[in-house]
Amino acid sequence: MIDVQDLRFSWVKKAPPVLSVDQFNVGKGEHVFVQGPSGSGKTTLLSLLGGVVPPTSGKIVINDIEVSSLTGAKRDQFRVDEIGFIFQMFNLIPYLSPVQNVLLPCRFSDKRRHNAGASRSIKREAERLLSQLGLGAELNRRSSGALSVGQQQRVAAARALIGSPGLIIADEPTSALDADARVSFLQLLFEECDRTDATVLFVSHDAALAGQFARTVNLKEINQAGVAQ
Amino acid sequence: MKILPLAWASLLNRKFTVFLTVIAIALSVALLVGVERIRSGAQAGFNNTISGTDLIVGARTGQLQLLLYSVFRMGNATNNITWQSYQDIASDPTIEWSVPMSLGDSHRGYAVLGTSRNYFERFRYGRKKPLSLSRGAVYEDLFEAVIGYEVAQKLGYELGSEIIIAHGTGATSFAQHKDKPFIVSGILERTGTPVDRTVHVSLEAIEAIHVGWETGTISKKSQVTAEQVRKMELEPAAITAFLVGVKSKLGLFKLQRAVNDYREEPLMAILPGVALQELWRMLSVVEKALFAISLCVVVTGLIGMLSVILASLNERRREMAILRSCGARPLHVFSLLIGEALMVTLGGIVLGLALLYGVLALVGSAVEERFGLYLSVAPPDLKELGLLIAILTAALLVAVIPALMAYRNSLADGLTLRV
Ligand SMILES: Nc1ncnc2c1ncn2[C@@H]1O[C@H](COP(=O)(O)OP(=O)(O)OP(=O)(O)O)[C@@H](O)[C@H]1O
Ligand SMILES: [Mg+2]
Repeated sequence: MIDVQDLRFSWVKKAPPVLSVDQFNVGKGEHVFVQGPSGSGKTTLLSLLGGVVPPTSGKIVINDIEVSSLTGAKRDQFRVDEIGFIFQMFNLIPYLSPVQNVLLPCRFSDKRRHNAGASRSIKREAERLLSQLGLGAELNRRSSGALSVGQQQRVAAARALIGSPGLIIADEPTSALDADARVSFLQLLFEECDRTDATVLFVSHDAALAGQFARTVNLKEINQAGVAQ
Repeated sequence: MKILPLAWASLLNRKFTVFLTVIAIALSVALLVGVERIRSGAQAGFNNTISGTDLIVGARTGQLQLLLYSVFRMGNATNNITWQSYQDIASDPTIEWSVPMSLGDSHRGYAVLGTSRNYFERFRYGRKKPLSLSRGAVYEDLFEAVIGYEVAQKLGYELGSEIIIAHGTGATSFAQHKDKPFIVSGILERTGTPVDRTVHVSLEAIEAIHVGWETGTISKKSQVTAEQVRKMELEPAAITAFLVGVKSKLGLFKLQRAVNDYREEPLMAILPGVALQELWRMLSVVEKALFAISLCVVVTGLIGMLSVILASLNERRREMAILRSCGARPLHVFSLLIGEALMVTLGGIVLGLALLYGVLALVGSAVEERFGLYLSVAPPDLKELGLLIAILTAALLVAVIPALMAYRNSLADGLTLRV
């Protein structure tokens, strides 16, 4: 699913790289936990995998698509077609309702819209995902900003899951939740991912979550740049 | 298309600031288009004051001065034309008609014009519209007068009302021709020109009231009663100006030159259209200043919008990153901000026009009554549409600044969500 080779990346030109990953692979349907301390480059790695920023050098292949060689608009299209993102916090567009937030990827991706609407209308699918994640229909009448942090994260998860992208990338989505909520959030997320056989790449500095995952990768071990410093 | 609904939702989320911005733009649009309406109304009214007259002849002064006193009843003639010269020139074979005018007296601030009866047949204004009487008839008797619409309206005169004419043009002139009152014999329809503010009497009447005034004041000894005057020979010695219509435009310039070169006394003939244009050019300095001020107000409105967008930009970096993670291209981020500016400006334009039309509908007729300025409530004409499109374009150009910033931020931030 994910195949990274000889990846080098620095935010500032000619500065020493923040990331230097020779080899990193994730198989289809795998749930992988990437752990690393703050500032170690976790978010940067996800930006690269998502094609938000292009690598300085090296090769990134996701779902048989060579992301690192895509340009401009194609990268944006690839990102929304293949990947669902969940961030740490403030995941929602405040002026859109929860359902509109969930439907956001369908607005930019025909593939996601098609997948989401395969069995029913995409709005129904959004509501199904929300209730699957434990959010009732009555929430939709509230503005996204009025939701609790935990509720916001579930809306974000539903948004990442809608239209069944092959890869779910989560950047510390649980760090603002308490311990119980964390576990139930992960369980609901995994349930949905398993239904569509989606790959999960989950990064956090919190090693305590590692137990929930079949495989744990320490970013320090794969990132030579971190070792050199 | 994907982005405009988002822009709309984003604006709704910030109703209050957005509403204020829309109002600021609306006010500036109303002002700009309003000034343009006033300008075109004033210009149209102005060019309509006289038409169908080929030449205006007066004593030699400046072309504007002659125009001002003969057509607008403003200022005074420095010199008169002798009746002899008038007769002489008016008999030129190329002239179809001529109307003598004698100015200099007033009634409660309104100009009194002594003229022949054919003034009412020959004078044209607007699109060659003739004068017409709403009530009564043109004067027959020596002491009868025909008054303009505004004179009747403001002073509450009816047919048969008595009018005392004052010597000179001041509103509170002390020297009055009290012994010879005039009776209103006719009231003219509204024209929207200085004719509305004029009292018309016959040339002979002007002579009559001035009998015994040759020294400039009345003396007890030289006083003549109205009854005595009626028996006198009242051929005018001089007039102030005269209007000329020619048989063929071909001879117009030749005639104008002939008048300008007249040997007996220094005279001057002007083409009303040319003189009106020159006068308008002078007045349009004011109009241009007004226009410049309203342009500044528009610029202020747009800067207001720019600052509102710029202020929101930092707190919206996160929003942009989320949109990017959901597949929005940098171009989408760019057009989101442009779209918002477009909607705010369009809203401002629509509200501004609504405001303007509301005000026009409310005060339009009052302005027309008081200032003789016709402000049309018609949809925007081509020039006004041009102004609106220019505002919209300026708004889009202004919005490019924050849009470019958001575009570059969204590229530089990656998925790093900044709070
Ligand atoms: N948009 C950016 N522009 C410039 N430098 C950046 C940017 N994003 C991150 N960096 C830098 O790259 C390095 C790695 O940051 P990154 O955000 O990937 O760390 P992280 O592991 O996600 O940390 P955290 O656990 O705090 O989220 C840091 O030194 C950071 O300052
Ligand atoms: Mg991070």
